[in-house]
Amino acid sequence: MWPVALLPMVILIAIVVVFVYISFQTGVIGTDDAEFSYDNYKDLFGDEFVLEVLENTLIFAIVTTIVSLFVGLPIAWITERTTIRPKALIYAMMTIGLLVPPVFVGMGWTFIAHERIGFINKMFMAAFGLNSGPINIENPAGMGLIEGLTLAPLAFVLSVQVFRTMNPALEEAAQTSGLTFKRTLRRITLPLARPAILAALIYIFVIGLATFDIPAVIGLSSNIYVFSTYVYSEAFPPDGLPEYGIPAALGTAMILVALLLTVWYVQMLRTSEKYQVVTGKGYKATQINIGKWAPACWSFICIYFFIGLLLPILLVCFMAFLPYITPPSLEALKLFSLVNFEQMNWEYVGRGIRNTALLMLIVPPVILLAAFCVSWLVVRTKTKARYVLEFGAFLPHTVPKVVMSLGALLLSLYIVNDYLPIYGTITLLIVVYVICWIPFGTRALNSSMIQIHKELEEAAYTSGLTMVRAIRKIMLPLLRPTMLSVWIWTGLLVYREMTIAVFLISQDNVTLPAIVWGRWTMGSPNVAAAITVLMMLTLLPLMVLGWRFARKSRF
Amino acid sequence: MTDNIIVSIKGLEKFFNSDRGVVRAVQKIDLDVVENDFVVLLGPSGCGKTTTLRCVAGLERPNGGSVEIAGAMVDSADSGQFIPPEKRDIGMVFQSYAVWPHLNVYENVALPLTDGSRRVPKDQVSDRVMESLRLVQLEGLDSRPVTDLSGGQQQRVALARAIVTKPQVLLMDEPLSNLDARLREEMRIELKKIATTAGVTTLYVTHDQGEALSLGDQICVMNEGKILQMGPPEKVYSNPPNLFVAQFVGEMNFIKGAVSGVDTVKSPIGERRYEFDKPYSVGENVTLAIRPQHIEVKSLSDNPGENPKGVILTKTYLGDSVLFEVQLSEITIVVKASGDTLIAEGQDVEIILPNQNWHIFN
Repeated sequence: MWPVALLPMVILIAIVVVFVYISFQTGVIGTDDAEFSYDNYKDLFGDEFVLEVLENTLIFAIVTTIVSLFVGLPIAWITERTTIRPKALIYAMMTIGLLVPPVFVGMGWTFIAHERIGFINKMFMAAFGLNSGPINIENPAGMGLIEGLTLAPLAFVLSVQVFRTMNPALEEAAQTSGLTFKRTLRRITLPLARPAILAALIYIFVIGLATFDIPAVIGLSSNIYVFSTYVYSEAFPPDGLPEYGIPAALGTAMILVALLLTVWYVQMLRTSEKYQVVTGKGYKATQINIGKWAPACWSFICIYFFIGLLLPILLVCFMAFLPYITPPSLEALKLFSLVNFEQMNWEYVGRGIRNTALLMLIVPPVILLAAFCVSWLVVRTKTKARYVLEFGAFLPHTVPKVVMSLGALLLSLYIVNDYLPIYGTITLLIVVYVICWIPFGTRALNSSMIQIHKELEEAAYTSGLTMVRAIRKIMLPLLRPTMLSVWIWTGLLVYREMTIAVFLISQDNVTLPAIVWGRWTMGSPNVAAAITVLMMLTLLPLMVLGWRFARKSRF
Repeated sequence: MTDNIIVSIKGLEKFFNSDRGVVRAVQKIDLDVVENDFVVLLGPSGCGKTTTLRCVAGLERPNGGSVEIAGAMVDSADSGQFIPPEKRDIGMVFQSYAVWPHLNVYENVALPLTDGSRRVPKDQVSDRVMESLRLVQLEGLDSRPVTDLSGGQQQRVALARAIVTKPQVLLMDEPLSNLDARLREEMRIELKKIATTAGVTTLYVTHDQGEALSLGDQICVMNEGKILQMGPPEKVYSNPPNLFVAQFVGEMNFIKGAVSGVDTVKSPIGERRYEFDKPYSVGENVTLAIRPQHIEVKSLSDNPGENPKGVILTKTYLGDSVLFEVQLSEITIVVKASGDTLIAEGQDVEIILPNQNWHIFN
């Protein structure tokens, strides 16, 4: 089991090493021109433009975190602690939010609020005869708002976990000690929830620092750069040679930042786990009667759902059937046609469909295999070496996707190309996808394995079963629900993944999200919208499957 | 002089809706707790004892009936009146202790006084807290984080916190069940002492009949949402009114028989005379019950007479006593004997049955 468990970690470390190495190189990589120097770092922190990028990134990440928690945390509290009904509907709405690719939301919002083409602005321009509209989302704060809305479901899931694992007896003890509801909240509930909420906050902030999809879809065309899009624009310039040194330096710095934040995150998680005292009888916390607050709460939830998901997706669907971008109106309806679908390069799109399907079939089982080996070794063995595995399993958290992708690109292109020509192939995508989501698998399997008492396995051994048989007949059947949901979730994550696909894109390994991106950046937004509609139609049954399994095993 | 009644429960009813239909947790019970009494609610899991306790606390709202504390109506299903837990003059110890992990020992005990509805002026807090801690013998540990304490110590913190406001009634939900056996026995005595010294009326829930017998001034035996018997421990032990109480409290032998005369019953141990507590009709099926310690066993003599003959099936040695499983001609019974008896397994014996201490149920 050890080789399987260690391999992804080794590859990731190789990627990071290459990446860091490149950050110390100037000149054209791969030629004799390249030489070791600190110039990249010097240029980085002296360059005004880079400082602006950092500032944008910070604003973007902060706004993202605030918005996602502002929406997700209250909805989680309302769902877990009040008598609001039906709860299943709220969970469904939030789960859909988790699965919709952010690129769709980004596209939709461009159609709504882009400075020039957004229909709200166009309405204002037409009504008041202005040159440009009042709403402008092409700035770090505006993009942060939209990213925050797409991450609200994640904040919701994390907060729900916090409220669920709090021991209700602690609040009941406060009540029987004479504390009012407000005081209980202030002195007991919130202090106990604080570390866990802080952990969620850090987690989302780290995502915000490194995310690519929305800043790419919305900001690039207006030359607003954050860390991820800056790396992209340097590594894939429209003309001229790619510049790897400086983005590598920035990326290395970002890894360090992410590493520190993740250490802080783990500390917060440990503290919060100390507060999770498990009750003997398992009473559910008393739920507050929602009463007259129900309409207000539902309004909040529905407004979020509308602005965050429904409206942008509707706009995308609308644009898919129009030959060019125009504000929604009755006249526009007359222009409806299937021209985008007819004019699509079906051979190209077909390739995208094949590749995406292939990835969805191959990546999840590989992740499960590796994650199982890691989890089993970490949870069940007593060797010291398992700490190495724990660290390795959590390393992908700290490496931003753009860094991982770019590093993988450089590794495959310049280092291993001679004896392992996977550059530009779908195999490279498989490798990076697997490395990216192993932590997801190990997290789920870890907690499930811990719940399966060691004695169940030991009873198998004392009954004469070998280890392999014990795993096959006892462990795996008991883990089946978790493994199934990991399978489906990772399948859906693969389906919607755009960042890695774009960085590693080639004619051969192109995936559907990468095709959408391609059409979007090459000035065919309506075609991009059309492909999006196709993706959504096939996504629907998959999402229903995913939602049903997510309900059964909440992790 | 009428005793002061601190807790008065009338017609209390509580049911839950589950996937399997309606669960009647508490079925119209009446209970009065007299001032300074230590009342134990005893029964198996699911009998409704904890639900009743939580209704008194206000953590659960009854579907029917009412609860009064110290003469004041705190919960009435008819009038809809409801005083929430934080406004009731109670203290509660939870099964899991529920000590607040982010506060230390002192802060845990002080919080009801500083932030509760029965708070006291700042200058009195320290004295009250230390007084409480002294009562539970934790005064040296006041600055320790509670997560550093052992289970038994955490439980004492919970107790100190519950009595620090000097409440009218102390509620305890199986506080000893999470402790190991030795500690449980020690804490049993401690608990009663503390409750008596503090002079507080106590309502205590447990499924352990030994605990109930040793702690309670009054025991209230419950099953399936109903109160089967309420009385002092001696009465519950020696005068159980029905089969359930008889077998739940203490060990009991049950022998099925039929009434054969005005005061005789025919059963596998012969046709014998018993003291009937109420008239039975001839032929009626009854169950005779006798405690193991009221039967004597001795080596089979040459002249057993009416004494049933049997053989020792198993001998369970308990140190101070011995439990014999004796196989009689048709039934097996359990007999308790002194620990230094010489009778061994497989030995032929005769049973000496008493004339009193029999219970009859139908």
